[in-house]
Amino acid sequence: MKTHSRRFLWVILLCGAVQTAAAHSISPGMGAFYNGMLHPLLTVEQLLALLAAGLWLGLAELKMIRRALGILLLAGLGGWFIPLRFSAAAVWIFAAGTSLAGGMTALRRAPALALPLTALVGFAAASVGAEEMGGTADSPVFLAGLLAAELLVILLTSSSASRLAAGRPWMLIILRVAGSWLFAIGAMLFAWQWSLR
Amino acid sequence: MKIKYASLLFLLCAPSAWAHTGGLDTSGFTSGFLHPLFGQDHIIAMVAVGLWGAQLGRPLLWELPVCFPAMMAIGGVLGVLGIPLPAIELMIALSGAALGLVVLLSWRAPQAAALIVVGLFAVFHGYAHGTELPEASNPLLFGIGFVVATGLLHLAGIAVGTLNHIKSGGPLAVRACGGAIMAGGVLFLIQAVG
Repeated sequence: MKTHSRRFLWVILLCGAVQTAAAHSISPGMGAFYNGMLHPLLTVEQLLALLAAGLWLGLAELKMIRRALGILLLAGLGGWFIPLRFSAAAVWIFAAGTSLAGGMTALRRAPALALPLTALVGFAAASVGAEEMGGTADSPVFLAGLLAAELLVILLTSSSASRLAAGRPWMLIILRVAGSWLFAIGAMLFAWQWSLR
Repeated sequence: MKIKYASLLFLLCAPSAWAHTGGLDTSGFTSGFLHPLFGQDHIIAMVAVGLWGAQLGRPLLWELPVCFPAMMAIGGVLGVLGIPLPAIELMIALSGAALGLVVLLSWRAPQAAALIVVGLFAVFHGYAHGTELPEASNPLLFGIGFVVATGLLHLAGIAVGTLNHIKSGGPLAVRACGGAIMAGGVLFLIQAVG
């Protein structure tokens, strides 16, 4: 099995694990690290935003993807330590991020804004995680798991998307169709949030 | 290797077991996924988009399935926000009839015209889905469900449209599908008007 196919398969498997978000300890027996890891993976709007950002980054050069991973790490740390208390606002960031990154991937636009967008999504995801953990003793381990999951999703999706974009024409089509689906989902999530105001 | 991939994907599709069947599930993803599949007027239009794309070939083969969800989202947003659009049911029925007709005629539309036609109808389909989105217990999963189902229906249309490559009778079979879709669309149109 080729490496990129295996990576893509892992992304699909991670998507398949999506369930309804549950705040706080997802599974007490799993420990703080795995709970932290599961937090962005099981919160659908966070996962979608990370996937969309990763797909869009996949259209960039490898150098930019590497830079994005570093920035994501810093943004995640920032989101954890800056007590913004803004989980309500975070949903807007995830919806707008999913829509923007999905739309740009569908249009195959150069991902100049992909870096700040990835940072913003990582920041918001970590901030929500910090708010839900509330500074318990396990917090640093939870944070490590959360950041690992964010980096993993971005790394897997961007590298898979990068391979697809550089591959045969039909592979790029898959990428663009996925982008348009994400745009649609993000736009409707945004509208739904708006209707709740 | 392909069997291994397919097996893993089927495993992912395995739903939770439910002891009873209480009609349509309104919990989220399932409800959204079934929404386009249980509405025949939606099905015929989505499949027709795939068929027409297959007839038109590249780049519209993939541009139509990219354009449709994007424009559908705009309709969905209008539906969620409750911004009124006129003649929703009429336009959805008309979409089946019109898209069936273009497949039947195998109309080689210019790129912009094909995108405008498909995009316009997509707005109305999205609106119909969007109005039901806030009622779902998990609107996000509902939205994901109907976007995925819509994409799969396009894919089904494209798959049938590959018959177009079979020289002996293939194009005729695809046009016949278009005729059947048009007939269905006209029926829905009569119902919508009546």
